[in-house]
Amino acid sequence: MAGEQRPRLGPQLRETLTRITEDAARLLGVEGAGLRLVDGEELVRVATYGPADAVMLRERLRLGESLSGRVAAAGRPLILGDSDDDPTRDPVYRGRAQLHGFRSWLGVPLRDRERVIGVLVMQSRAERRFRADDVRLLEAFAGQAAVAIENAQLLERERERRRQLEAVREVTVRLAGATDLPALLRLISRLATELLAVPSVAVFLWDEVTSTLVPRAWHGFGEWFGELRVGLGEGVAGVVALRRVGMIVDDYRSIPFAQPTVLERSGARAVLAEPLLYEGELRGVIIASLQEPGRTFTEQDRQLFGLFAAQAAIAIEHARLHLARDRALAEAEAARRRLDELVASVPGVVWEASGRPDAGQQRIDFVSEHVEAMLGYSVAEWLATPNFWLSIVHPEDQERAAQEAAEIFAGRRPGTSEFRWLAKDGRARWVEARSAVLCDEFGQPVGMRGVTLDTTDRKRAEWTQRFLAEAGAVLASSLDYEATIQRAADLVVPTLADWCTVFLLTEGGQTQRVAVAYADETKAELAQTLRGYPPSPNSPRGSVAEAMRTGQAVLSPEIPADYLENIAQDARHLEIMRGLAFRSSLTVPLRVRGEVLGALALFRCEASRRYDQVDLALAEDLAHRVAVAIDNARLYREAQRAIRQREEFLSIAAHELKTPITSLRGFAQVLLRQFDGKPARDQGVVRRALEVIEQQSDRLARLVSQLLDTSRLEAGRLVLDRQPTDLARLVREATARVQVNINHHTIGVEAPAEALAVVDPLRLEQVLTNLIDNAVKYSPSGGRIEVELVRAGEELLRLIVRDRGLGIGPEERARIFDRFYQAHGSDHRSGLGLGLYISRQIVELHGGSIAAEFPPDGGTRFVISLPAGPIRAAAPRAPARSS
Amino acid sequence: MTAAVRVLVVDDDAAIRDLVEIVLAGGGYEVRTAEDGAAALELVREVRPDLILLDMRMPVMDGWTFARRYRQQPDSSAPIIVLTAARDAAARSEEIVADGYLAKPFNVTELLALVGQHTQSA
Repeated sequence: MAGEQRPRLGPQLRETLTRITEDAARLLGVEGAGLRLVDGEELVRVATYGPADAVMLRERLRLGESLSGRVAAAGRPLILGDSDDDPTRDPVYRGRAQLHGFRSWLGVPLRDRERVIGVLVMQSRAERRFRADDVRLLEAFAGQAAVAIENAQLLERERERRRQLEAVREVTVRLAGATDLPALLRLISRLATELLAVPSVAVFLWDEVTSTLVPRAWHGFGEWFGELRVGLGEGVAGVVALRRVGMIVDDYRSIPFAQPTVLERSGARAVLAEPLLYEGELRGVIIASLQEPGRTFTEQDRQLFGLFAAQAAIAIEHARLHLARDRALAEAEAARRRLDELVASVPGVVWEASGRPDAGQQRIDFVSEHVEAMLGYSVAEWLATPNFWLSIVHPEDQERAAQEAAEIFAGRRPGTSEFRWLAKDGRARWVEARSAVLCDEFGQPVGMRGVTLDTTDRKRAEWTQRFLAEAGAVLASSLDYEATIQRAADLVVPTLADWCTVFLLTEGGQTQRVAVAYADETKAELAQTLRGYPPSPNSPRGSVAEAMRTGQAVLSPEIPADYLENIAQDARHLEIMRGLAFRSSLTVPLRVRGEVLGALALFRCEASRRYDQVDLALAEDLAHRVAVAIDNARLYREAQRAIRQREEFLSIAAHELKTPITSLRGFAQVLLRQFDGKPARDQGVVRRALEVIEQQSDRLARLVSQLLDTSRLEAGRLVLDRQPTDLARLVREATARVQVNINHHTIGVEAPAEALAVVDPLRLEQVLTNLIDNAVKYSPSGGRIEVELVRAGEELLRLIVRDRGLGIGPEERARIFDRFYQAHGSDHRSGLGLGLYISRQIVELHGGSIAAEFPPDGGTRFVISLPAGPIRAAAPRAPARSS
Repeated sequence: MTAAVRVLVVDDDAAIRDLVEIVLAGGGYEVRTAEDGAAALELVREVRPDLILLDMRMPVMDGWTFARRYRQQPDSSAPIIVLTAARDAAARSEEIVADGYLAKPFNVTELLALVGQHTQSA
C-alpha cells in the first residue's frame, strides 16, 4: 500500500497543463519546456514538452533546490546562458542536458496574486538563447497561464468534490442495508479506504463498561491492532473522542500524544480522524492513515471524511438498534420457552380462569397440555366450553366441588378442593385442585388460577392399605373352613368387584364353585341357576382354568365379545352369563406353599371401573391372604380330623383289646371253678375253656404286636432282618398255615419252583398273612382266594393276593393304607385297622411297593412289587422257617 | 320245680357267648344266645327272656337299634343289661336307659351276681 499515489490531477487538468506547456514552448520556439506546480514545500513536475528526462529529470524538488527551486523560492525569473555557467548545477542533470544538447535554460514563476504557485521552464539547444524580451514574453504568458491553471484547478476541485459527494452518497446507500454490526463495521472501514484512497482505516467503538475505545474493524493494520485499548485523550483517536471534533495530523511521529505501540508498529505518517457521533453521543472514532512520506490530508479530505463519518455513525446506530431489538426478541422468546417448559414439567394441570367458578359462563383462559394426557380432552375443548371443569366432575362430587370452589372465590384466599374428574374414556381420576384467587384493582375477585394434581394413585394406595388390613382381620377371625371361604367372597364385594366367585380344587382334582358373593340383589335368581353349571374342568379357554393352570392372574379390562360364547356350555348358560352383564374381569389363582388351591374370579359391570394393573396387584395380595386363610382352615380341619381319628382309634384299640381279654380271663375263672368243683366238672367245658384261652391269647398277642409295630414304625425304629430267602417256599408254607384256620375259603397258590430274594422272612410272612386275612374278611360269603408269585423282570418279583369279595368303594380307595383305616364303618370291624398300614411300611422298607387294584369282575387285588436284589454268593445264613 | 330263668345273651364274639353261656348254665339259668341284634329280635319272638345281656357294637344290627326295636314290641318287659368294652359303660347304659351294665372284661362272679340280682322277682 505504501507509495500508492493519489491522482491529484484529473485528466482534464493535466491536459490543460500540458497544453499550456506546449503553447509556451511554441511561443518561444524552443525544443524543450516543462511546468512545475508548488505542493507544500515541494515543486512537482506536472507537464513536459520534449524529452522530459532532459528538461525535468526529477519529479519533485524542494523549494530552493536546483534551478526551478530557486525560481520558486526567489519569486524571480532566472536565465542560464550555458550549462557550464553554473557549477552548482547537479552533474547528473547537466549530463542529461548535455546529452540532449540543451545548453540554455529559462525559468519564470507562475503567480496567483502574490503567491508563487509554480514554475514554467524553457530549454534550448542554442547557447545564450534567452534575452530580456523572452523573459517578459514568458512572464506575460505565465500570468495568463497562472489564471488558467487556477481556474482549471478550481474546476478540478469542484469536480473532485462532486465526485466525493457522489461517493459518499453511494456509500450511504451501501451502508443503509447493513444490519449485522460486525459486517457493517468491516464494510465501513473498507469503503473508507476506497473513498480516501488510503491504505489504512480503523473503526473504534466506545465501550461504556471499560471507558475505552476498542478497535472493532480495520484495514491495513496487523493483528496486533486488535489488542489496542484507547482511553480518552490517548493517541489521535482518544483526543478526537475527548474533543468530539475531527483532526488532521501531518506526521504522527511528531505529536506528543502518539501511542507508542501504534508509533512503533504502524509506520503511520499522516493521520485523519473523525468522531462517530449520534445525537451528540460519542459512539466511536474512525481513523485513516498514510505511511507515504510527504503526502498529507487536506481540508477537503477532512470534510469528505466528516460526511462519511456522519453516515457511518447513523448506520452503526441503526445496526445497534437492530441488534438490540433482535436480542430483546430472543430474550422474550427464551423467556416464553422457559415458561412453557416450566408449565409442562408440572405434574398436574396448570390453569387460569375468569369468572365465578360455579357460574355457567365461567371461562378457562389457560390450561396446560398436561390435561390431554390426564383426561383425554384437548386444550381446545377446555377453552371452548364455558364452565368445562365442572361439567366433567363426577356426578357425585359436582355439588360439593362447585360449592368449595365458590367458597374459595368468595374468600379471595388460596384453597384446596378434592373431587373426581371423569376422563374422556369414562374412567374416574381423583384430583386435588390448589387454587388462588385473582382480584382486580378494587380487590374484587375476577378469576382463579392454580394447579390441579392427579391424586388417584395416592388415594388408591391409601385405600388399598386399609382394605388389606381389614381383609387380614376378617380372614384371621375364624378357622372354620366354610365360613372363611364365604367371608373371603364377601370381602371382595362391593369394593373390589360387583361379583365374586371362589373356586376350589377338590381332592378328586375337580374345580368346584364353592362360594359366590354379589352386590346386585336382582341377580340372585341368576346365581341360583348358575349352580346347575359346574365349571367345565378341562376347558382351556376359561380364565379360571387358565389362572389355575399357569398360576398367574388373568386380567381382562374389557371382556371380549366372543369370550362368553367360547365358554358357554349351552344356550341357557350363555343367556345367564349375558344377564350378569360383566364388562371387566380379573381372575387370580389362590396359591399357597407353591400349590394351587383354586381361584378368585372378580367381575365388574360398570365401564368407569375397568380393572387395571393396580387392581391386579391388590387382588393378588388379597388372594394370597385368602389362600393362606383357607389353607389354615384346612389344616385346622385336618388336625381336628387327625385328633378325632386318634381318639377313635384309642377307643377302638381299647375295645379290641378288652374283648379277647374278657373271654380269656373269663374262661380262666371258669377253669378255676371246675377245679373247685362248682358246678360239677365237665370235660366239655374244660376243653372249650382251654381252646378259647389259647385262641384269645393268640389274638391278643397279635393285636399287641400290631400296636407295637405301629409304634416302632412311627418312631422310625422298625428294623428288617434280611436274609437270602426262597420266597416261593415262604409263600407256599405261609399259605398252608393260614389255610388251616380258614374254613369257608379256599386259597390257591401259584409260584415258581424257587424265587430267591434278600428279605425279612418273618415280616413278609406277616404281610402275606395280613392280606389273606383281609381277603377273607372282605369276602364274607366264602369263595376262592388266589395267591400268586411271579417274576416281573430281571430284578423284580410280584406277589399278588386276589379275592372275589366286596371290594372297596372308590371314595375309600385312596385311604386304605392309612393308619386306623376301617372299611365298612366302625360297626363291622375286627382288628385295629393297622394291618394294611403296617404291611405297606414293611414292603416299602424292603424297597418295594404295594397297590390295590379293583378288577372289573369284582373283589380286590393286592399287588406287591419287590426288588429281587443281589443274592449273596454264600449259602443262606439261616434256613427259611420250616413248617 | 319252678321254670328256669331265661337269659338272652347278645354278643358278636363267639368266645364271649360261650363263656357267658357256660357260666350262667352252671348257675342254673337257661341261656339263649344271638350273634347280633337282628338274630336277637327273631329269638325274642319265640322265647320270652327274663333278662337280656346286650353287647352294643355288633354288625348287622347294633345294641342301640335292638333296644329301641325291642321296646317297641308289646310284651317287652325284660330288663336289659349292657355288656360293653367301652370306657364309659355307665354312659352306654344310660343311652338306652338300660337297667344295668357290666364292663368288659368282667369277673365271672360279678356276672352271676348281677344276673341273680335282676332276676329275683322271676
